Amino acid sequence: MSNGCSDRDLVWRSGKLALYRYRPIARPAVSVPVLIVYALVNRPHMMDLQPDRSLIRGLLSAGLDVYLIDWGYPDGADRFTALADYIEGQLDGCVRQILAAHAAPQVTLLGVCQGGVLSLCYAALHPERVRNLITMVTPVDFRTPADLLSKWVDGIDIDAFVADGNVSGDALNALFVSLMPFRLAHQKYVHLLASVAGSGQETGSEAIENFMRVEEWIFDSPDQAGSAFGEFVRWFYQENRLVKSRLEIAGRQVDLKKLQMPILNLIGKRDHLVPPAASTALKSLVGSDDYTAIEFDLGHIGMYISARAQREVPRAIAEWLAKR
Amino acid sequence: METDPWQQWHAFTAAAPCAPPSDLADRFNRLARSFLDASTGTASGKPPTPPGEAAQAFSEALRDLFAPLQPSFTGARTTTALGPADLLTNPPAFGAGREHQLRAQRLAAAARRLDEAHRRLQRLWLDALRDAGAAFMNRLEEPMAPVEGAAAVRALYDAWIDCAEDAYSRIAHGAPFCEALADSVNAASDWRRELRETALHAAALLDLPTRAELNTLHRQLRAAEERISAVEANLRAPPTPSRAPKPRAPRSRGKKTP
Repeated sequence: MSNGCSDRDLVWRSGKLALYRYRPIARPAVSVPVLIVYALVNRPHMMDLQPDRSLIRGLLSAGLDVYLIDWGYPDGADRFTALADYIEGQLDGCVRQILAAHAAPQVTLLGVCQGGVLSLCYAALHPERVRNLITMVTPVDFRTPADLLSKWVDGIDIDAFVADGNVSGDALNALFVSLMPFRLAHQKYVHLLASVAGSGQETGSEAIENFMRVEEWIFDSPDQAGSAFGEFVRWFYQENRLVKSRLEIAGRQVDLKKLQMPILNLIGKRDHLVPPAASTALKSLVGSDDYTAIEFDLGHIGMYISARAQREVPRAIAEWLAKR
Repeated sequence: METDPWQQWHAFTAAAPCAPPSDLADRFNRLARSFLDASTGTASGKPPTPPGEAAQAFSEALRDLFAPLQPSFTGARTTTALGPADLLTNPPAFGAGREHQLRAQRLAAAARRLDEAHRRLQRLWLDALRDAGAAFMNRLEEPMAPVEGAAAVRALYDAWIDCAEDAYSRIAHGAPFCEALADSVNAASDWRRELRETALHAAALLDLPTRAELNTLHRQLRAAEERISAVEANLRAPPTPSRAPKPRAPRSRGKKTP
């Protein structure tokens, strides 16, 4: 099982969570450490898949000091782990570790997809610890017209579905493939065969290896802690609380107006999981005067691993950070 | 674990829930070549089939080909054949085993609702394939750029996928699909709950630990962890500056007198 390709050190562990710090490969350019908060529903090594497809490597090359949270694989003992545990317990613990290690007051949070939602919540609850906030393919308004997932989960009795247990990663995979079944269950494999058939042995082998690396990542989906999953679906997808300012984490209101730090919002224009409108809603909800949104002509996964993303996304982040 | 990418590929396709994509691709290839030959009459030497007829035959064959690709939203198909259980679920529930009979009836009812929801989803899936076929026929009637061989087949294939995905997307965003999907998931949840209750009863009879007991332990452990975290947080917190004690009023030792 791949864990990424860049050199890194384990700097903190709490339960199943592991916090990694990546070894620098360029002269430091920005002093504030960057903490990447990945989603719970997939493994974080997509950020560092292979040397020529690595957002992390791009950030390291730009002289950033990069940390990454690996949430681990929840099991039956985690069924009652709630969103508050992830945000106020584990994410907060990571931030505190980094602040202590750097003797610094603030970090930059880079939240990806669902990790972006967790980052928004954390930054709103602890704005004093977040110097800059970067969200990448992050849903904010969960009820936009193009959001198929929100329409599908609308009538589901989520308490009965979770029923004190964890949610199978395989079931989630089936759900995600069902969003575009012809492309995701058929066309991509046929295109692979076509590209392999039309190339030489070496190129074909490399194409299959690259393909399988992504394939392995897609279907390496951890089970989801039951309580946190139920809360996420109900609070965000069904009730859209983040937009309505009705979200509470551990008894404290998550008020996005408290996000007054610089914010960079990275959006995939062809994202079928997080429609662009779901992300662009952030602008009108935050209290920051320093808000930047950049749209890339890419899909959800293309934002991490496409050749274009390698050229454009880390550079956009580094340039934006350098000005702040 | 197999490390050779080709072997991995074959293992992957062998584990696919429906016909592996490579097999479907081969069959698509044959259908597409038949369509191209029939349109131009090149292979058989016969006069070309009228474009509408060839397109309709091609489109219908594609609907049959892709019908088994229907996604399984609950992760696995559930058999709802009841068989001998009907004997337990059909009569009215009373007597010593009443609660077990009621549970079996609820289980059967959930299975029936799950089956019904799956049928609705299946119908909607076929509607999507029908719409995709119509859109594909329209696409075929448009003048095509002259491409040869594999490129022509690939262009047809991509056009079919575009039509199919567009048609599916329209259906999947619609209320009937969303309701059928929600009914399916909710029925599956009920079915699983009743099945779990049955298993819990059996476990209790055999004096095996049950999920309910484990849940209780998990909750107690979690509460203990929260208490420990709170104590640790208090220990980490910087001590509050001590205040000078307030002067106390001298306590009267004697009894108050009116």
